Parts: sequence; C-alpha cells; structure tokens
Amino acid sequence: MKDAALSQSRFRTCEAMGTRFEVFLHGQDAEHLDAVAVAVIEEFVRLDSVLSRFDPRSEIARVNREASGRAVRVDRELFALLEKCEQARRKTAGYFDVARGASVVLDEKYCTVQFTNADAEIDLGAVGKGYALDCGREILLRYGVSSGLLQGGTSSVWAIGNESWPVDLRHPLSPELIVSRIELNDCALSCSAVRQTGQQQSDVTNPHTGKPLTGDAACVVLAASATEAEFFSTGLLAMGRKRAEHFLTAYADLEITAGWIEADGSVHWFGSR
Amino acid sequence: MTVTRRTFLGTAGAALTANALLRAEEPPVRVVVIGTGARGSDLIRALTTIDGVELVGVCDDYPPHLEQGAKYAGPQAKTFSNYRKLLDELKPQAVVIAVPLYLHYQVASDCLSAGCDVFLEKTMCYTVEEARKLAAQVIASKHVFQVGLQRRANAIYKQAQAMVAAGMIGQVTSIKAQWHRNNSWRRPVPVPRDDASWAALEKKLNWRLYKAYSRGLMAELGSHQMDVVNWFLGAHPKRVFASGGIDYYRDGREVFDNIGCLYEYELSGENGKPYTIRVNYTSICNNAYEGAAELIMGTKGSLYLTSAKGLLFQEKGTDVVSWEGGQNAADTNAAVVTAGKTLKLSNDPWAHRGAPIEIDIAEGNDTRDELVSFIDHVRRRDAKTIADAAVGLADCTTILIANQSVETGGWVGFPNP
Repeated sequence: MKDAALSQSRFRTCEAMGTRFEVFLHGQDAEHLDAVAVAVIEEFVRLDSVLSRFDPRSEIARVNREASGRAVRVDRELFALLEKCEQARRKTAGYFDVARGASVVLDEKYCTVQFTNADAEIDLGAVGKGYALDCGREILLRYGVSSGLLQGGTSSVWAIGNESWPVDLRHPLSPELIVSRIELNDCALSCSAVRQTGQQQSDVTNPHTGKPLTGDAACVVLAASATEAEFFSTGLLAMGRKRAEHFLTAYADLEITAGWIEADGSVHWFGSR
Repeated sequence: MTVTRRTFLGTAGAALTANALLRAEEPPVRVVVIGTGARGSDLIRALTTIDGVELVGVCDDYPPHLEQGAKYAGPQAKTFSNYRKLLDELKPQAVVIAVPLYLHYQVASDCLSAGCDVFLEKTMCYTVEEARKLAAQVIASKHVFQVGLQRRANAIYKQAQAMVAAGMIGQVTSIKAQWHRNNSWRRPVPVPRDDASWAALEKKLNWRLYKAYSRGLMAELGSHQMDVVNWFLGAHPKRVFASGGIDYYRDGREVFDNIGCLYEYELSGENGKPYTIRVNYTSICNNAYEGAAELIMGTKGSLYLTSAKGLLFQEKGTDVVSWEGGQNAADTNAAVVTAGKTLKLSNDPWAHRGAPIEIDIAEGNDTRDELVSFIDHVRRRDAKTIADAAVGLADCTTILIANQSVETGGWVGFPNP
C-alpha cells in the first residue's frame, strides 16, 4: 500500500492525558524509526506532565490551584498555547473556551496567567491531544520521517506524508457503526461528540449558557494543524450545525473542512476543502 | 502501631514552595543554563516559572539544542556556544548545568571558580576522583551547590523517608529497586545514516551509549534510586557485586543494556548491634513490566515508591491474628474445624499484600521543586542544600563501584576518602 522504498515500519504506544496515543511510522531505517517513535512517545509523556488535568503534578494543575489569587508565571510554551486558545476563543465568538466562560488574564510581558474569579479553571482536555500531535509531527519532520500516522484517543489524528491514510468515522453512539471512510493526506483531524455510549450528559459545555450540550451530533474537523482541528471541532460542535455552517462560510480563509455527523448516521460536509 | 490513612499526611508538601515567593520583591537571582538538550530544556522551562528568577543566558555547543533552549528561555536570555565566554560576559549568580557526564567536573569547577553557585545535574562526576576534588572545591569556596537528585524534592519521597525514620515499616532489612523499560535508549540523529556528518553527530547525541562520555544505566538512572537508598538508610553501601553486559542491543553501543547489582549496607541497630541490609538493583532496556520503582521492605511493612505514587503495605500476620473468627487462637481453630465448610482463600497471587495505604500528597513537579529549593538556598546563602556535595559524592561513588564490579568481576568495597 505504501511506497516500496519505505519498507520498514515501527509502531509504539503510550498512555497520556487520560487516553492512549499511537505512533505508526514508515521509512527505510528501522533503528532510526524506532528512535524517532520513542522520541515522539517521550514528547507525549512530557506534554502530559504539562497539560494533563488528570495529573495534580502538571503545570496546568498548578495554574488552576494558584491563579485565582495572583498572577502565576508559566513557561513560554504553555503561555503560547494559552494565547492560541484565547485567539481561538475570540475567533469562535466564545464557543471554544478553555475556561468555560471564566475570565483569564494573560500578561505577555511576564508570561503570567491570572483568573479574575475564584472558581475559574482551565481545561486543556480538548486541545492538549492536538497540541501533542503537532509537537510529535515536528519531531518527525526534524528527523526526516516523511510518512506516519499519529493519533491520540482515536479522536485526534495527524496523517503525515504524501500517501493517503484511511480513517473511519464512527457513529458517536454506536461505535461499531462506521458512518464514513475518509482519506487523510498530510492533514490533521479532530472529532468531538456531544456524548458517547453510556454517557448520560455531555462533557462539552456551551460557554455562553454554561450548560452541557444536548442532541447527539458529532463534529469532525480537518485542518492544517491538530491544535486548530481541536479548537474548531469543539467550537463548532458547541455552536450547533446551523451556526457552524454560517461560521465556516463567513471564515472561508480558515481553510478548514468540517463534517457534521447526525444521530441518524448521516454526514454533512461543509467548509473549504 | 496503628496507622491510619491520615496519620502522616500533609507535612511535607507546602513549605518548600513558599520561601522563594515571599521574597519576590527582592532583586531577581540571575541564572544561566549550560547544556540545553532534553534535560537542560526541562530545567529551563521549570526555571522560567519560578518567581524571583531571571534567566539571563543559555549555552550549548550544538546549534539546534541552543536554538531550542533559547526559545524556551525567552528573548532576555543571551545565547552562547562557549560557557567560559558566558561566565565572563554575564557573571551570573547561579549556574544550572546539564551537559554530558564526562564534562560535569570541568564545567562545574570552572563555574565555582568564576564565583557562581552551582546546580549540577546528576550524576555528580564521571569519576570518584573528580567528585572528591569538586566536593573539596565546593566546601572551600562556600558556594551553594546542589546535585540534580530530584527525588529529594519530591513530596512522596520526603513523606516516605519520614515514615521510615519514624519506624512505620519496622526495621528495614531489604530493598529492591529497578528501572526497567523497553526501548533502545537511542536518540534519533537528524541526518541520514549515509551522510558524512552522521557518525560524529550520532556519538554527540547518543553520548549516553559511549564509555568515554557516559557511565551508562547506573549513572543516568540508577543514581536517582541508589540516592534514595542512601538517603533512607542514612548510610552508604559497604560493598557491591554487580553483573552486566550488552545483551540485547548489540548495535555498537559501549555501555551495558542490562545490569544487576547486589549492595550490602552495614547499619547499627538498637544497642549498637550491627545488622546488614541487602539492596537489589537492576536496570534493563527490553522489558518494562516492573517500571521504575523502589520497594523498601521492613519487618512491619513495605513502601512501594515511584515519583507519582507512594504505597504503604503493612505486613500481615505479624502483630495481628488474622484467621477468621476472632482473637482467641484456640477458639478460632476450633470454630474453623467444626464449621464443616472449607474456608476459601483468595487465589489472587497478591492477596497477601492487602490493601495499600496511599501517600496522597502528589502535588508539585519534583524538577521544579528541586530548583525552587536551590534558588531559595542561593538567596539565603545556605550551603545545606537538599543534595549537597557530600550527598552527590556518596551517590556518585555508590554507582561507580557497581560499574567497577562488573569490570573486575568481584566484590568492590566503598572506598575510604
């Protein structure tokens, strides 16, 4: 299926951010591929210690504990990610919001974060996986691996290289039911669903109402970075189908494609690609 | 002794973080980082989150690493490829060093001579001789010096150490520790194998695999865990026997991918009566089942420790009659015999361990916390850091005598200074 010159492949997995990540690489030099795969896994584990809301030792946990009372210094990497989240919040008219409507003050000069209300909290659960995949992809590029698939939690994917990687989209409430197969070609994907099987209430909230989303839709987004795909799969899902369609018509320059998966299994594509 | 879940909680965590913050109005400590590879970058990121630290410079002789370090450090930090130039130009108050092991002594010694306080990554030095010279220089210079043995700053380990000291697991008789994983320990090289620069670059990036630069698994992994042993026992080993080899990854590396050590510690117990503690340490690179952990075994309980979790298992069947039915042994036996129904024991192979009591103070990142502590000592001009030159020297000697034992094929005693 792949380029004959890329005769070797390597597969590695790890647990991070409360889920499972996979690294699948193609190339010519098996020893090199394995070293790169391990470097990617180590990067995922490192980012888990920065971004994971499941780990009380993580940087984001420290921010959540301390930033209500004072401006907390964070490292430049986390600060840059929080700034990107803030830009995405503005772009999506507040529908993507890591602070769920709470006000967060970012001071660029000192790289500090401060909450204005006491019970505020930042949740990078949605965006962390995409950011980790983007960092993983950079490692592949740095070390000359031109073909690979990285995925986290089966909801975030980076397909790297010139060949297509097939990705099946599952029905959000019937995991065994495949609603569509798409071919990813040098492209990132993120999928967000209102809820999954066995889940009573959505863990995605509408930041404008503070209430969990209802309905049983899912939104899949293809974008040029996995972080961006996360912003919009979550943001568009929170908007709802109609508003999301209008949004992507208005912002055609974003160059993202969205697929809306309805509860009946139908998939409706809109956006630029 | 009755131990409840809450008996020992909440004593170790908070004190450390507060000190540096209280002095935030004081002028910042001017810090530089020498060596900005993977570990150096971790340290840079942590330093930039600490109030009262101004990261004024970073240095590395490998441009991609320097670029990465500069990105994390921020635009206020000047970049250097030569650390002596950095020392001359910036005259920093404190230096954080994360260079390959064979350079530890030279770089640290030059920084001390330049009048700097020094945080030096573990292992302290490449040879015992160098570690001794450096320790002497530290003491003569009166500078603040700390080795990067971050379990000493980890809330779980601090708690566990206090539990052992308080006798909660009785007399420690045996320790089993390991760092097992399943990968080649090989870092990728950013040019193809047929590139003219590959061989030199491979040696530079994979310095951990070559004897001239590295002391292998014992120095890079074992040093953390053997320091925990030295710390908890309040002693250094008396002697060691070790066996190791390049068993699986026969890929040109020069350091072992498999090593097992048996250490003996001689301690003096109650009434000055001596007793021996044996410590089993292994590190392998092709099976991760046991992960990285230490198991401290005492007559009344065991502590299972990792950087993220600490578990206390109390010994069963020592102080308490644990058979069904009650405290009176005779009655209990009679009851069992006459009940007419076979008592079924669990077939879980780990049932004898019982349910653990968890050390649940897990807040705080130990890499950040060890640096918070170092900076605090720098401010207070306090040489008694959490891992000072004496601790670093003992740790360095402990791991190097194991390597020596593999080479010589016999027991090696802990050398007298």
